Amino acid sequence: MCVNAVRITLDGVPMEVELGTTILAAATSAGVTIPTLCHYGGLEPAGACRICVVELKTERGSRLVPACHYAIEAPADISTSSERVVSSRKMTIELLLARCPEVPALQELAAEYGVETTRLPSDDDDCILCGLCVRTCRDLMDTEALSMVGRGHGRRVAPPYDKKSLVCMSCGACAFVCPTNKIKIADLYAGRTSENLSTYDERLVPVGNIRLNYSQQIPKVPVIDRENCVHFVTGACGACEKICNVGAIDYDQEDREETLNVGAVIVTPGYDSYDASQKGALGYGRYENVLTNLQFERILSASGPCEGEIRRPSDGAHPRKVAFLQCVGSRDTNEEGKPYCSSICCMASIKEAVIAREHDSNVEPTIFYIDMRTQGKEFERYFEGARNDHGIVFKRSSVAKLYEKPATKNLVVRHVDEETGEIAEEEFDLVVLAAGLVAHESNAGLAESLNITLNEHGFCEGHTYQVPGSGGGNGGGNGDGTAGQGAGATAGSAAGIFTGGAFTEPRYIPEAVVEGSCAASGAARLLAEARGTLARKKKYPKQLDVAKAVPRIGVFICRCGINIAGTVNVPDVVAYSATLGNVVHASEFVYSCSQDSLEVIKETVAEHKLNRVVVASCTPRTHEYLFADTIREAGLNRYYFELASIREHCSWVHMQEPELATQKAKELVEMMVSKVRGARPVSLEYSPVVHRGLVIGGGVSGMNAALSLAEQGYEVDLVEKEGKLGGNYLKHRRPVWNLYSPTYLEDLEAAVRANSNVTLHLNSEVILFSGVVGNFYAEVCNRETGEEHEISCGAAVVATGAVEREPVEYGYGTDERIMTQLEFESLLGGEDEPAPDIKSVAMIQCVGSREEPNLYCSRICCTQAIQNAMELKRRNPDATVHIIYRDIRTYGVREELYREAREAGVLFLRYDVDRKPEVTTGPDGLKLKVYDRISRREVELGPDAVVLSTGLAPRPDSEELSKVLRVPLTRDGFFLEAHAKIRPVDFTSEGLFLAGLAHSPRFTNECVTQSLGASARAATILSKDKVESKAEIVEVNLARCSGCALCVGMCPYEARQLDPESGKATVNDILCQGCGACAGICPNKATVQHLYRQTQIMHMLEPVGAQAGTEAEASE
Amino acid sequence: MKKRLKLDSNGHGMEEALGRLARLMISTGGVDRVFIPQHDETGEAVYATLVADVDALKDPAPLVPYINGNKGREAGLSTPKNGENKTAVFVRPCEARAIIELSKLMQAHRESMLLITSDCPGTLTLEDYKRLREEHPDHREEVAAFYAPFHGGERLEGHEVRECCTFCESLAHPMSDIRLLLVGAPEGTVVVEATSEAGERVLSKLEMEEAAEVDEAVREKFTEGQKSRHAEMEAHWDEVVHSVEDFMHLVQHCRRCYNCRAECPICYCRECVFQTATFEVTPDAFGRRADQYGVVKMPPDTLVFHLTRMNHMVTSCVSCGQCTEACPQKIPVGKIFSAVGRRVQDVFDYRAGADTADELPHAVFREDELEPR
Amino acid sequence: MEATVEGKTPTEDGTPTTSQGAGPFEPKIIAFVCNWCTYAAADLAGTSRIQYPPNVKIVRLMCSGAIDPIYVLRAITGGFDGVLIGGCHPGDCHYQTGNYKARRRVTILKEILKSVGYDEERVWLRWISASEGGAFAATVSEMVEALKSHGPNVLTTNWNK
Repeated sequence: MCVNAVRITLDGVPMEVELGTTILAAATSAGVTIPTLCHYGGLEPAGACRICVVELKTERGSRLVPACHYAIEAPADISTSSERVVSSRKMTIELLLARCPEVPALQELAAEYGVETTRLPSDDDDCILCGLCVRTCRDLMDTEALSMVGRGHGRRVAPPYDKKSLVCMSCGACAFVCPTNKIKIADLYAGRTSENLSTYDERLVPVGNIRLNYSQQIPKVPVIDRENCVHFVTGACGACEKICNVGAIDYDQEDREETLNVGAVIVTPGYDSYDASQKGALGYGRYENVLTNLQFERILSASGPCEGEIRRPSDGAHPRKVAFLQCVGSRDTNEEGKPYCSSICCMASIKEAVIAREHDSNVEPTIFYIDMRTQGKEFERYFEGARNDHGIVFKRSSVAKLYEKPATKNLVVRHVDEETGEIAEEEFDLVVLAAGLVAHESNAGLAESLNITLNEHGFCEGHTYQVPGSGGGNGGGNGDGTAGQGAGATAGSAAGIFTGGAFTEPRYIPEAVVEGSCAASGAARLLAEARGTLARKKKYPKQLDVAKAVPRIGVFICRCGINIAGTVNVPDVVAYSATLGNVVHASEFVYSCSQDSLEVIKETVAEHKLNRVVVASCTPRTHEYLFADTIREAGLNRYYFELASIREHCSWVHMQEPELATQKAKELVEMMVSKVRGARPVSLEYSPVVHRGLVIGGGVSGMNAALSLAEQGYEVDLVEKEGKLGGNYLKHRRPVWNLYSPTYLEDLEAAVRANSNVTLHLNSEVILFSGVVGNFYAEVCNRETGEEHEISCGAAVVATGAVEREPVEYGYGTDERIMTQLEFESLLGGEDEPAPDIKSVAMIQCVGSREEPNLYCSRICCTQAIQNAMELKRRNPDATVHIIYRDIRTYGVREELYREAREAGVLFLRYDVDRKPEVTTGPDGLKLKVYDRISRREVELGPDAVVLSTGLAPRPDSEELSKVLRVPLTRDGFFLEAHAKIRPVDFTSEGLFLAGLAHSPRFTNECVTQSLGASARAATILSKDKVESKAEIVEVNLARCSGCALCVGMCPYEARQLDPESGKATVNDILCQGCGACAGICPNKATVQHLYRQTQIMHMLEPVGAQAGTEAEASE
Repeated sequence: MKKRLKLDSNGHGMEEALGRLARLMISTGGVDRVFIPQHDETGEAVYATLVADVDALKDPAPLVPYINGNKGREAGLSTPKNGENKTAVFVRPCEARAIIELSKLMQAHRESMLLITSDCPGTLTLEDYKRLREEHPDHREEVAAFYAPFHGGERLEGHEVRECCTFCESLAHPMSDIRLLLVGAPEGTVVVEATSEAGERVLSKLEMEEAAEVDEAVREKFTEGQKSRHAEMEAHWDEVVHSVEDFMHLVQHCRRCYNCRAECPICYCRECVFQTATFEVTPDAFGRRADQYGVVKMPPDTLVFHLTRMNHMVTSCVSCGQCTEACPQKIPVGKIFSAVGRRVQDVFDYRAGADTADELPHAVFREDELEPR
Repeated sequence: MEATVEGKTPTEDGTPTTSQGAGPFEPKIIAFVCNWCTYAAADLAGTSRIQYPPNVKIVRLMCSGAIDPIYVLRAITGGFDGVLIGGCHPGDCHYQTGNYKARRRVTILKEILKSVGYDEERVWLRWISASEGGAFAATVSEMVEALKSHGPNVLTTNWNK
């Protein structure tokens, strides 16, 4: 026994404590709970509330002492729950309850101790006079902003002289410690209390000074807000340091500067939201129920302040009518606004409106807009779906003003009625402002330290269009790969600095993702020689051998915020999962895929000795690998994992039937539990990667992809169908929108031809394609000579482009004065040609676009039309140009071109899709009749030429190529990427990537970015030494094989053969692609497909609840 | 003009004449071995034998009116693949069909065989055969009696052949190398016909008398009769099976003994899927199934067994009827498989056992077929 | 009692009924679908929030060509009222020709089922590409409706099988 220790008995259990320890501390460390009210770890104990009394038996007899206060100095026998203790606490509770009958903390205590009523006259105070607040303010904060005043019955807590304190810092500590929630800072503080609001939650909720900024924060360690922490501001308090048992608080931590030596810098600082309060007439900051779009997004978010329930700020009520006001601060030439279009807000508002309807079907959203700009891939369909299927109302009207009705705090939106042209008013419960995207204030400092230039809007000037090695382009990149501006999204004029995302312009997620890859490709080109030199290999623990062990299955059900939990009763599914055979653990996560959840999975595997894991969450295509890798990190073979898709296949598609969806989710989980029970470990083989790329298509996209790969050090085969390189770019007299140098194409082609890594195949097409990621085999046929080349490659990029749609509308083909934009462009001629003799032109937009069967926007036509109009005006200032449009989609900084065109006198008429212009031809010229929705009248024109903006159509041979490559097309006939947002240039098939117009219509500079991004994605494969074999390949149970060779005939890859000696079937693991056709035909499953074993599938089909095996699976 | 030789019984019986033919084939070097049924020493039982030594071919029984299981599989098992050695295989049409199907499944090697099939009037059940033997203790007489009306295209009265034999559509198999023609041949003789080059080569080494024409009209008439009985059988199926419950009624006494599968010449799996864990569930799971449905039958999955076996081999069913013989519950398995098999085979214009050149329906596909689904 | 709720359903007189019990008949469908097309289409239906009846459960295979008719037989004798097999459109198979193999197998199986008097219209083979989320949802809805008119699968209600 050490000198400072003393023996005691606590509730009959002998123990040893340090001399001077309080009874409360001793009990807490022994896991015995003693109720307290006035106790706070950071303060000296006061023993004021008497709720913590315990019975102390000494040689001198027994007595009650406050546990928080009593320091143990001698051996003692302590009881924390003797009859005497309980009776004393009951009395105390009765007294306190009489004083403060409404305090929840007391009510809970009363319930626990069985105190039902108080025999004393009831008071209505909320203060139990424990003094904790006073002591906290005085002892911790070195401030005496409040104290106990009065005596006897009049005793109370108050600021001096009952006046609001001048010394109060409004730190909130008193309110924080108050056990009864009596203290309100507003009662104490003389100034205006400013709550510390969460920036993550868009200032919708307050946060503490020690906090996790958001739940997905990495590392997940709380930080102290030094700006607001009393300790950092005044030196007082320090309570956290005293309370923290593990000593994690370190006030002396300093910001550290670290020096990194890098060869390239990628800058992606993102954007800021426009400060909507600058538009005073819209009431943001004045009216409680006016929110920004980001705030509304937080409200919709399951991890947001309302957990996905839509509540408006003023009264927490569920709003019914919600208005979305577009272009707040965007497309705004006023001083406080931004002249450019923020690109994303139309789609963002539509999506918020649709999701709001999903969360609460009573919500009636109305979107007030100027032009609907849904120019992204598949966006037009989403827009149409929102309007037609989700009942979202779209009103074309720019809202300049709204006001609040004081009684209801509803908002009245003043706008111009589109039909009548009159001012109208409409009342809404909530207004959401589509605040635009602006450059971050900090960009200036960043630009200075990086020596890069910003444009007038504060965004970074990026150049994706320089051709390395050509000397062309802005800033003259030197392209030797050492100090040049690689052709990534190079920032400004600085060497080796690449940027991406909204740092250069407002951008959608897929574009930002592509830009990230593009920047990576630029860095990779620059650093090609150093590739891999600093790479570290991920290490996994040794794999546990559990093949013979009884299955111990862990099931984790994901709420996915409310994406799943909003429809499926997740606790119910968890409870059900726990009853399934071999399931030894079942629990839920808000987000299974978050880093901390993955840690929990690993810990649970260890704790419960799990040898199989099921996660029920989203589609396996997004997170299967993540979870499988997690259990691998936990020491299990990664194929002891199954994922039940209860989001895509359940909660999202059965939203109106929560009970049935819950039942289905249970069954889906059970199916996967059945499947994982029969899982077998798979050990992967590795095969070497062919460090060679294939690029299909020799337009601007294809050439950029090829050049980028070549400069990263890989050999590339570039296959072009035509006899020359250039693709669509050859057809343009001047590029649409892009500010390329006039010699761009020549420079690019020269660089491609000069690079010895590139092998050109002109007049050629890919006629056969097979193999696996890292090891593809292609046959390229020269269409002229008939020669065939065999090509091996590790990855391939599809950049086959698109074509201008040939119109059938408006009499095209019957009169040569009716032409397409491209034809008009060539009629306009080049700089050195005489101006065309055209006095008036009418351009019709969206010809054959944005309606079935081509329900997509071609993105470039508005800009192209305006550009051509401006060119005509420039060459021929007297010419009249009418642009007849549905929505002008000059997104981003293209908006300025639109404004310039209007200023230059280009006339804009707007038509409705159900009331199209009419074009007639006659001896006296062309006639065009259109009902202009802006002036609400019929307009008749007699132009010299009618120019049709017909948009872009997928290449007619795309379908053939899609069959050769076995990759899918969209409904519209463009190639379909793996995931619209997070894998925008990947195909689902590993090792295949896409870029340019083959992906979807876009501007040339966007094509370049995309193709460079695709090259970076392809390089993720080409840079590897080896790739894993597929896990889903087949194996043969030789004892069972009869050698019938049905499997051999089924295999399209010649991976299945009969062994000539034994006559048994064999598998070539490298050739096997894992389709399972051979396993499907094998009558007795001598051929077994890994991950899809017949017994697994059969057990998945068992009736619900029929799986209860407790033994290891019978051998197959 | 096909090569046709006349084989006289010369009073020793047709089987002995065929034995002589077999011995000649070996001794002239036409084949190395002979696969042929023989009577055992007691004369009571018949076995398939593989003979290499002509002296060991003592008591041939290729025409005995009883078939102790379809020997197509044994013929396949006893013939080495790609062998230099050629084996003359004396089998009946149904066995030849099985050999053709099995060769597509690599379980027999047609190219190593000199396939010799005889016209078959059908065979008797074991009981009937025993009765016939009692009537004719000398098996030469028994064969002579049984085949006497057959030369004229009729069957011996008083003895019913097995049900599947009543609608067997082929006489000696046209895709054999050598056919032994009885129907339309003079009584007591066998016309030995070469139907392939290999057959011709072997026969040309034999110094035997050329045969006269067989009576094709008699052969035609017999085959037509068989075909119409097949059509009747199919029509009857339609009358009997309207719903799956009717089908379940047909197999209701099945006790899952798997004898049908064991006797089937086509079921070639070394280990049947029904013996693997595929259909296995734990005892507890049976209980949960009962909970789910209220009741489960034990043993379960009778229907799945028959349907799975159909799925595996019904396109190759050669209608030999051995399954019916093997069934202790007298379920007409062979007839069921014949009827269903014919329907499925019709979809692909396929006939099980007709020709090695025909592709197994489930082993191949065409791109432009079967649409719309 | 909903059709999809587990466990036996004692009726008032205590006799057990099958899962189809009382209430309107809700067919249970199992779908064996190709990873590359129909499974992706089902995902797309999800991300597009296209609503369809919850009667279907999906079993993912790498290819429709991996379908073993045993699975279908197990399903129709083991409690499901319908089986949907989803593959890539002809010519689009990720593994070149798996869908044609599936088509043969399913054709043979359906012909067998028809021959033994079983309602082979309970087994559907459909080509649904990765971009056809709507088609997947529509197919399920259509199948549910069709099966409702066919009524419960006799092999689910008949224990003597």
